[in-house]
Amino acid sequence: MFEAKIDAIVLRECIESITAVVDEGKLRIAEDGLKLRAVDPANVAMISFELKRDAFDDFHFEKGSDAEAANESPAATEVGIDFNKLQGILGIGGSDEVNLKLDEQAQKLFTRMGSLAYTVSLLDPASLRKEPKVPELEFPVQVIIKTDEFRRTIRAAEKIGDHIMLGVDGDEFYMEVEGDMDKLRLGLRKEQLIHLTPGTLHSLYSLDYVAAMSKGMSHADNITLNLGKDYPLQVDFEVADGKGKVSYLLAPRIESE
Amino acid sequence: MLLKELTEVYEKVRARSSKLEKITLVSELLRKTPSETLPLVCYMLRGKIFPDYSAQELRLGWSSIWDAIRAVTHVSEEDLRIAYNKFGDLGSAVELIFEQNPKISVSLVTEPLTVEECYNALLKIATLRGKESLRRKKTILMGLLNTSSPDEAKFIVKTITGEMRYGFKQGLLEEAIAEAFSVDVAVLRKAYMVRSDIGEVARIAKEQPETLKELSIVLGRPLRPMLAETADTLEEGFKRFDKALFEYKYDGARLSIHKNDDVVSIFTREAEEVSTSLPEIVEDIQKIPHSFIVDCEIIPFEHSPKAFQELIKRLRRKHRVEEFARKIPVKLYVFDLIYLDGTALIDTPLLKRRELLATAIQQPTERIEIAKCILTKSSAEARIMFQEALDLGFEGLMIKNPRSLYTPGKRGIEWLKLKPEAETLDLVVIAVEYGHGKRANLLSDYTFATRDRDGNLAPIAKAFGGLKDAEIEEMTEYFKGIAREQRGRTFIVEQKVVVELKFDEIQKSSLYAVGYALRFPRIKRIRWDLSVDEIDSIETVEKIYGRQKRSS
Repeated sequence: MFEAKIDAIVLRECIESITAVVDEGKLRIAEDGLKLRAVDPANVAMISFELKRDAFDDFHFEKGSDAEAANESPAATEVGIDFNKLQGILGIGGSDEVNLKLDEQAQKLFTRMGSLAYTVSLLDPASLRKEPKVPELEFPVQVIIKTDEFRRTIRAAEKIGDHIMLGVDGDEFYMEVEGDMDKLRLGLRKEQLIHLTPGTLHSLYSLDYVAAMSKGMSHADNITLNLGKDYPLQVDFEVADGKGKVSYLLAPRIESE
Repeated sequence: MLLKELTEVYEKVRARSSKLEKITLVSELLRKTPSETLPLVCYMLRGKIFPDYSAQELRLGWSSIWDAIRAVTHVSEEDLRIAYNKFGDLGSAVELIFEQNPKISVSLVTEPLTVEECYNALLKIATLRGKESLRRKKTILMGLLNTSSPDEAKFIVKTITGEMRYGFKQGLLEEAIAEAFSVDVAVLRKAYMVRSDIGEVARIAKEQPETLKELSIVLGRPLRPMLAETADTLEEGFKRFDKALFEYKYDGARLSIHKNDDVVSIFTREAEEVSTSLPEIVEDIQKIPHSFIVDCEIIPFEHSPKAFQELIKRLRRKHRVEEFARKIPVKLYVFDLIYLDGTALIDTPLLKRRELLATAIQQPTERIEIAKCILTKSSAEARIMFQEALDLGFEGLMIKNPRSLYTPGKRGIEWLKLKPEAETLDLVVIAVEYGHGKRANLLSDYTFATRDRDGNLAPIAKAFGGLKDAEIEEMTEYFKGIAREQRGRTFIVEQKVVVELKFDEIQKSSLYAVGYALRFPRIKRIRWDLSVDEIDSIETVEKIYGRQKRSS
């Protein structure tokens, strides 16, 4: 049994952070809150998402006895959710608060926003990919940057090229895009950032993915970029006023020559 | 099970020429496949991810596959094109590209691809609908390719393009399943005939082999139609069967109708359900008592048979169904009964089935008739019927062994089809070219291919006559939609449009690699009812050539 009440803006923020990487996934509901780990269909990006129960105004979860045998973890239940659809429904709006109620038997999620009730069919978990293993990674460099600054640069970069270089050169963090004709570079000194580990390294990433991710982080004040040399990028940020955590992982582009 | 285990066996099978070795290799693989994965392995070996009773298809446009390959590898448009032109199929091209070029990005998923994951991903590509679905399909394919070895990538792409269907033959798969689980191949074949699902049958062979014999027809699940060989003369029938059963050969669409109490389902020969587009037929069938499966042919009919093209406007129609039902009346000719009130009749001789059919459908309606047939030893009588068929506007005659059993999916010598002298060939369009003069903006010149001895498509004719202007305009749009690439004024197109071609004669020629060419070819009609799997092969071309020589 799962029944909860949550602020509409908070829920939308969370769903947007998920749809930035995947359209659908297995959401794990447990007593301490919600969790999701999913990889995008192209195996290039991954999301780990966590929302604590105190992000909700109301949160009731009880593991159904009949479902227990089917699930691996006795303290949690897994439901297949089409997050794109859910985001569309939340977009209709009309209320400050959203009520959620899960009917596991019928495989439905009831959402109610004020007088608007919407029943969402759950996805068959068998049709969804299994939860990915998170690769073990060590990042030599960490940069904490204001989200707005990062997003503004990405928006400009999209007009210029297909991939973006993120790097650190001594005390400077930089983002660089080269198109056929133009070039864009943002360089920020340590004092212009919230935090920077000095170093010399860079990696190249697909701008499509970085741009999608930048939409998913729009509500966070700051983001933490974890970087390496020709290495995946990990972006960490908070949602729901610190009651939720999101972590994106993005595979680097390997240059051909 | 890892996909690698499957593709490794597939590669070995391709490299062997001995049928027995091929069967042994596959049977070893099947034996170690876990039960729940066994159906998937069978489907994938055949290159068709759905069972035969399903009309669903794995459809992903050629350009999407092309884009996905380029999105995961460092390969230029030009290099991919060169690789493609070298092999003529995208699967072999991707194998070469993957061997020579690095991937653009590492995959975050490091575990090797399993058969189950690959199958689920392909299933998703086949079933995703709605907005964004094209982007999502492409991304799923990118994910598969991103974690694939060159062999695996080839296997996946060939499965999507349909090239895999010419890989491991259905008959060999049946034998491999029988060998793997020590069951009688005849029993297995029979089980597959009634179930139209090789995956299900394989699983039963593994888990409960003793029940294989008891499997029977499932009402509502389409069977593959029994097919006929081409006969050269009327006498062939007598020669083979002594007394033969003659029926008109109707120039329409083959349908099978399942009636379960009040529930009527009408299927095309590709197992696509078209019940909602034929409401008046459903209504008439509902009035007939009994539960049954009948085999029949539907034709557009108003006082006399109308052009086959009219039928296309009715089958699969979703909107204005009633209006078109009035505009284009149809007639259904029932010629076989496969199941009646709980009893499967596939082991009942044709003559008996015909008798039962007459008792089941006692009151034919204006729209539903039992196909006329005569049982005779006399070629004079048969000749009269043949002439009658042509006078009435039908295509020719069917010549059937009155003792023939119903064998779903088999093309045998128990049933023969006879058409009048003017021969036609069903060929697939592989390229289209802009015409000249007033057709300079229309793709009006088509290049056709037959299937050569190795099962590959080979060009044999070029034609530009036969279609009406409106049809050419329609087809121009259609061909642009399935174009793979443009070379000057020519488009190479997906190999899916089958055309019935008339011609004056077949000539030996060095113009085409197959060694034959058609004299004065022109298009008779587009055969939307046929797929590229059903085109005439070089053997048929040679047969007609031989007949021509004899008769001249």
